[in-house]
Amino acid sequence: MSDTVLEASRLRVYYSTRRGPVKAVDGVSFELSRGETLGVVGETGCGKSTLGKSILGILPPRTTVEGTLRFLGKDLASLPREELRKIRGKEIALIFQDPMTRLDPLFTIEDHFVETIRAHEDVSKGEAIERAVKALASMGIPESRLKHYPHEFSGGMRQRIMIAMSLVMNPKLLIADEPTTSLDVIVEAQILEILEDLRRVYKMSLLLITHNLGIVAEVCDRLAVMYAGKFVELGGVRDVFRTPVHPYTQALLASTIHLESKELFSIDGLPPDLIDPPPACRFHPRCTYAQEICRTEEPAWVEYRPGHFAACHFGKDFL
Amino acid sequence: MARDGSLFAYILTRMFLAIPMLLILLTAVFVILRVLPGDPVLALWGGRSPPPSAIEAARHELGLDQPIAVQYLTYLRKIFTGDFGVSIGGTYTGQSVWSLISGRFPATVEIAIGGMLVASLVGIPLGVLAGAHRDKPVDLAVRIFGTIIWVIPIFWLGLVLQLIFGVWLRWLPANGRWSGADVPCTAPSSCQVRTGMYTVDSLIERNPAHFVNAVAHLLLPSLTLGLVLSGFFAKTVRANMLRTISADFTEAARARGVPGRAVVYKHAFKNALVPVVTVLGLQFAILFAGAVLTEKTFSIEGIGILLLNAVTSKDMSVIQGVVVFYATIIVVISLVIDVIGAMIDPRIRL
Repeated sequence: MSDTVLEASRLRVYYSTRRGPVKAVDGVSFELSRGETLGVVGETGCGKSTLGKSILGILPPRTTVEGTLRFLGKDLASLPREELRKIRGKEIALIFQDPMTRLDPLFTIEDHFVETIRAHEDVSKGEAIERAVKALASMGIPESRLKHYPHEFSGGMRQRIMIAMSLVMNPKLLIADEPTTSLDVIVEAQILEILEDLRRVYKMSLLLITHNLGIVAEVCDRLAVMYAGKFVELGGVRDVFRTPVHPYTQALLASTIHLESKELFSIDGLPPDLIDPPPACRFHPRCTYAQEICRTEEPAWVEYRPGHFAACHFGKDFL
Repeated sequence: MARDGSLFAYILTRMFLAIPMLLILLTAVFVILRVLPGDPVLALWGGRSPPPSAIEAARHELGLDQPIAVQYLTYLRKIFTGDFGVSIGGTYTGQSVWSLISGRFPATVEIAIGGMLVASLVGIPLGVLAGAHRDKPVDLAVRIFGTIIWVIPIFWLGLVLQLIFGVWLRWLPANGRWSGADVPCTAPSSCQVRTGMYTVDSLIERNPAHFVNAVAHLLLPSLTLGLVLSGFFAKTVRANMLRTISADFTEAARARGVPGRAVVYKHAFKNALVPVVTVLGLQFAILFAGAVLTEKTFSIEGIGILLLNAVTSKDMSVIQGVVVFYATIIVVISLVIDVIGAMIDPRIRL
């Protein structure tokens, strides 16, 4: 138990809109251990980014959050605002998908680092700069660029700056929300390598949100598949990749490109509207195996193998 | 890349670019005034038809019988040598246009700066507050205030303020720029320089009583002009705050653990400021052209009244002089706006 860094149980996040609540995260439970990497995979708009932001508590105002989130045993919802702020950026850090827009264009890189460090620790500006130089150097960015503005860097460099800034406080948990999606393949490989090293060296836990199954296979220990605000499958990367239980996971794996077969498999239909999602099993309108029960009854979260869970009425048939 | 050097280079480039901008504006003024209906020569006779020989003589005197290219070059030469000509009709006949403008400009500058100060001090904080507390009671109150104050006719607000503070409470003078005869810096050799702005001149004189006199007269017009504008300022600032407060980098700043106040007042506000400076700066330039309604309400002889009188008496040389003067001010202020923008936003200095 003491090894659990993050524990989410029955987490729900509803955004309020004019048309009604958007059920972006709808009853998600999982645990993340020290030094572990959990990949969260799903289509655009399935709620995976919301999941990341809800852990940090940076959701927009008037968003409803239910269920519990425990970080190192502390219930995040019960913490006072100031305590929560101190955790953000220091104990839990977040790397965003789009490094081009995440740095304030009017402030230099040095300003960003000094601000971040001094938000958490009472150190002199000089010492903060010293730490910034070290953090940037570990990402291959020279000290001479400290006084440069964000627009003077390339996308890959900005993402390395963002990573350096996330790591400067030595967080225990790093949430990476599609950290390489907007970057080219070579830079992507570099960034993934950096993330790998970090986890090995600092025993940091990593929640890696992505839609790229290749990255998951490369970097993660465990994998959660998210569909329409819910986890549909969760298990060790090897288990899930070899014997996926949920038809959605099967379809996702089938839709990756293989060299042998030139055909490209795609899932029919569109991801559901999260204001008015399909009843019972949310995947049933797009599922080739759907039966009457899938439209009327919500499937249970069943452990099919040790540590390998899925929510499908016909899960046994796919084992 | 030299960091401060790039700002300096930007300012230099921008100053050079102001020259063609000014030339284009001056040309536009020349063309428009000659295309507009209404013959200035006929206007000299006030509607009665003059003898043809007199028309010819007047045309020759005004240079209107010259080819248009010659007229244009003469016009440019005179402007650049500071010769704005002489009033050709109505209230100011025979007076030098330049002295008409320079005599009234200080009064206009004082109201414009006073109005701008009030509008900024009231409007910007209200806009920030409303933007930071979207849809909360504060925001609603600011939005209602902004709309009501912006649609109030400015002369009506002026009259109400005059009535309350000038007539009922008798706290402030209800109109004019000065009480008494001893206008600052008019006594022989009392000042080395004289600006014509009574606030500044009384400071040059080191005369506190004069300063109070000048400021007291300035308060009501500034308040009138400033309050009406503050509604517009608050709305502009609010709209830009809403944009920056939900921007990606503000969310990222919160994710880094930056305290909420710093997120709003440092990141969101500074980023909202760039477009706000442009809008507010142009508004300031418009004030310089004369806030004619405010000047009229408070019986202050400024540029606005000058232009109004010149237009009603078809005094072409005064109209041309004021418009040229105005064009120059627009060029200068937009230069200043761009420099301030570049100081705030490094991406502008390219």
